[in-house]
Formats: sequence, C-alpha cells, structure tokens
Amino acid sequence: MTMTLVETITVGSGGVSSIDFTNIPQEAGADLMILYSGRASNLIEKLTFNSDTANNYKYKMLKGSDTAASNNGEDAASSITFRSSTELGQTANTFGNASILISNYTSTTTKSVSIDAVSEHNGEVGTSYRNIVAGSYTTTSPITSISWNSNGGTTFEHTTASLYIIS
Amino acid sequence: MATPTYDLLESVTLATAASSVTFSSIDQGYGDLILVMSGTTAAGSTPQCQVNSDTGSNYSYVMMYGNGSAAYSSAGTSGQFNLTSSIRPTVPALTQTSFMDYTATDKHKSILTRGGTATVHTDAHAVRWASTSAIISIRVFASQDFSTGSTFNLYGVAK
Repeated sequence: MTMTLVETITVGSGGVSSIDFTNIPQEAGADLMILYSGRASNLIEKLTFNSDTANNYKYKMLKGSDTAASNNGEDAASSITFRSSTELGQTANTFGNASILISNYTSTTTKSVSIDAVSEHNGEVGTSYRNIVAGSYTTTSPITSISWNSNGGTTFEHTTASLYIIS
Repeated sequence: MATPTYDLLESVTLATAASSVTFSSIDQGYGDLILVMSGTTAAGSTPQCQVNSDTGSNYSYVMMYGNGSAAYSSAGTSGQFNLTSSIRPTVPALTQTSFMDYTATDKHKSILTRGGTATVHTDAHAVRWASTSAIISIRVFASQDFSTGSTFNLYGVAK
C-alpha cells in the first residue's frame, strides 16, 4: 500500500480558526495529498506551510463561475489561495471540497502544489466556483506542518480534512 | 485491516536528463491509473503523452488555461495530448493525470489531467483516446529534455 492515512481532522461544534496538520512524518521522495470537505465563513482559503507567512509562495488560480472563467495569481504571496468551502448561510448540508497534492514534500528545493477544488452553492451567482491552482513553496525547508484558514474566518462544524502520504 | 487501493506501480527519478519516459507492460489488474509528474526542463517545453505507442490523431481534447492575467479554453484533436501546457526551468511543473477504466475494451478511454507551474500558469485538460484497446504503455515526452531529478510516478487504483 502506498497511500497511507496520516490523520483525519473533523471540526466540532463551534468551529475552528484553522485546519492544522503538525509533526508530519518525513518520508523521502514521497508526496502528500489532502482531501477536504468544508463549510466556512469565507469562500477563500489560505494555505501555508511550516507556520511560514513570509512571501514564499507563488500561485496561479483558474476559476469558473456561473457566468465566466477568470484567473489570478501572485509571485510573492504569504499563502496559496484557493476556494473550497461553502459559506455560512448557504444551503444547509452543502459542502465545498478540495484535493491538494504536494510533490516531494521533504525536498530541500521548491515544493510544487496542485489543487483541484470547488466552493459549492448550487451553482448560484457569486458563491459557486470551480477552481484549479498551480502553486509552489519556494524555500529549502521540508514541509513538517500544514495549515489553512478561511481567510482569517471560521471553519465550521462537520468539516473534514484527511492527510495522506503517497509513497 | 483495510485493503490497499492505491499502489505504486513504477517510479522513475531521472539520474540524467532525458527527453522521454516510458511505462510499459502496465499491470492490468487495476481500475484506473494515476500518473504524477514533477519536473523541469532546461528551456520552455510542453510535456506530452501518448499511450500504446499510438501516434495517430486519436486524442481529442478540451482544455482551460489561466496565467494570472488571462484565461482561455480550446479544443481539438491531435497525435498526442498535453499533461500541462508548459514546463520550465527552476520551478517544477506538477501534473496529475487519471486514465479512467484503462483496461476496458468496450469503450474509448477518458483521461483527465491538471497541472501547471506556479510562476507561469495552471490548466486542466479532458482527453478522449479514440481506441477500445486496453492501455498497456504510457510514454511521456517533451521537445526539451526533462532535467535530472524530475520524477514520474505511476499508480494503480483498485477497482
């Protein structure tokens, strides 16, 4: 078996300010995958590694909504941005989701990130986005922890995130 | 104990630069295949793919692309398909490609790939390989050599 579950986080009552995987086992040459299903106070998610909020991230995001495709990106960002949650107040029991692949996470060179995500709200205007992201973490540090938050807001109850090592 | 469902079939890490990598005699005991590529090239190029050594115009695709300032989409038919639109030096391109129901002999094969390079673009392609043959080999290639250290991992996903 080469896809090993490291940890599943399930958010309880009251929500949390961030999803955090810490003390990630270090396996040379392996990849990480995160599968996420969530509701949060914002559509936008901010992904960081190793508690690093310096401008060590680059990303390009392509997203499609009910009416148009658009894109944006940054070459010196403090996080990688994507959209994978359903906002508070939107249809009950509806969750956004994401698949996040991090290549060769123990590498001492730039780490590449690929995200496939949707913020789901029955396809409604301004709140439903299908998005893909190419990102990178441009430091020599192996990734030992992962954190993301709902753009500073709250991630709500019943959100789940599972971290896997693929080797 | 849970049954393993995601098995590494073959892993290639380039010890020297190479223009192509081929996975041959692929195990036919899985439901889907997933190919993960992470790599660079000495100069800009496009990582492309063919299956079963098929160089005919049997790959139909529709794709979407964004580079931070513009987004577009296109469709067509070709003698190969792109894993992503470009691969460059320095910042590795990362691609994940799914070959759905690859052993089926009663349908054309669907292939979904997403990827990009954080400094250049992100894109996604949906591909139809117009053949009812089971996929037994996959060749990844580019006009510029893949750099030393580039990795190509092929996984089988259990049915």
